[in-house]
Amino acid sequence: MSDTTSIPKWMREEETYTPAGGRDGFLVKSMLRLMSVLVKMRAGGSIGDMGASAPVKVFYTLYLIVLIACSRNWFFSLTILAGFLVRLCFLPSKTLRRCFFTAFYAALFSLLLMVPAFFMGSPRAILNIFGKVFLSVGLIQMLSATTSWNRITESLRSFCVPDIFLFTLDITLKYIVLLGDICLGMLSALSLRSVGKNRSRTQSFAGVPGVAFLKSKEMGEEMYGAMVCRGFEGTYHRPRHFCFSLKRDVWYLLLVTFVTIWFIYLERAIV
Amino acid sequence: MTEEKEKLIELDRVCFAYDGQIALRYVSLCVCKRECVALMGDNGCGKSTLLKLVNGLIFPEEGRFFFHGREITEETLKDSRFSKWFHQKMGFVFQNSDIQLFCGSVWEEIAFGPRQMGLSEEEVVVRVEDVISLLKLEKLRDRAPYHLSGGEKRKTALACILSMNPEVLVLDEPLAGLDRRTREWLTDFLMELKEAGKTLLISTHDEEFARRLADRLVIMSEEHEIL
Repeated sequence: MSDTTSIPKWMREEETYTPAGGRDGFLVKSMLRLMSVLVKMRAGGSIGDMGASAPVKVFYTLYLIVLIACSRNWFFSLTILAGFLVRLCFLPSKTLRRCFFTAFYAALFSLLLMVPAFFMGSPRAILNIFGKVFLSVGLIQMLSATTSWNRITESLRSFCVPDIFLFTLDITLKYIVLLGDICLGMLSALSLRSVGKNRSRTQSFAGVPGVAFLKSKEMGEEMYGAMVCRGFEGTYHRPRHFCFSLKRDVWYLLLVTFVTIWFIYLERAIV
Repeated sequence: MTEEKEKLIELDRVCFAYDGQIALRYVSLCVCKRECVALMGDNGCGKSTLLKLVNGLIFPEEGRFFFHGREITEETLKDSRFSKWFHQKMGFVFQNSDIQLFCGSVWEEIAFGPRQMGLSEEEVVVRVEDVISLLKLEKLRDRAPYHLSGGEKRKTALACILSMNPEVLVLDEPLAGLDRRTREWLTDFLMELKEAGKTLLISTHDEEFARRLADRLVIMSEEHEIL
């Protein structure tokens, strides 16, 4: 069988294509959004935070959130807010903006949900919830900015979270990045080939998540096969390596102590 | 008498880094019309980054990039008309064919580009059928691209770029993962495209393929520079 080909005439000639103007903001915006999420996931935890170990930071953040939620004294939230804003100022400008605005928008959303409370005679509750949501989301944002994802999931083991749950969480995060990469590549390919008026923009765009879904199924099956080949039988154990270092974690310990004393003092003041 | 060749792609001391990790360091490269340039170098030396930059997917942090004498920047590509003109002229075949295929069937995939260009349905059919017979994809025309083999996906990805008739074909490691027979076929096919007047910029690890096909070999070093 001969493998010779003959190039058609139109392909030998130079294309005289003049594109019409048109918007492709949807594709570009989708790409940028996806890119920013991937960059955030990859860059998560790239900022140093006084060298404290991840379990201590996770514990400190969760502890603060619980105290903020339990606190009945508005002054406690104000004190934490002041400390939070001071700490925020030491972050790089991009991270600072991200932490601040994510927390602010979340708080704004809660404010909208609380609007009826204003008319039902609890205007103070609105401010209270606004501040608590802002602080809680802000603290989580700061934790994710200063601690990488894998260190956060690793540290959850110190709180006796089952290994298999953490393993699933790790895999989920890994595949979000991998599938995000695939989606980004597909959106790039789609935008490179979108050289004219896209009459079926939504149809071609819908192919991206479709292929990502099929790819995720394939990757999941491959990974399961690989795990079975390595003797996986449904259980997964990892040794715990966390060891507390006074020198490294002393700053957070002092903070926890101070915040606890402050919380108890203010709560007693109310009583 | 030497004929002055028209410069299509010009990179002038281009630098690029991913989050501070240098990928291209003062790279200068010129590709003329109807020329075939093979880009070689070790893994991680910046070949794929260079190809992405040439296709306007990323932009130089330092230095300048010209296509047909017109500077390509983030700003110039914001002009939708110019961006579409540029992307029609440059056909990029990705290393991972999976990400390039998103339509329901091979036929639809190949027809996507010509339809984008606003060609009449008769012209679209002619182009798609020509490309299908050129790349011997007759048996695959109604198949879903996702279920094809690696070689078939590569052929389909090439077909959907060829149907747009770009002036420059940029191929990122086109032989990767292909069997010997398909490699032979693809090499011969690219030779034909070159003879038909296409400009080719190809990154590869296969020296024999590069020497057979290219007019010029460009070697990139581990320092992300052109040697």
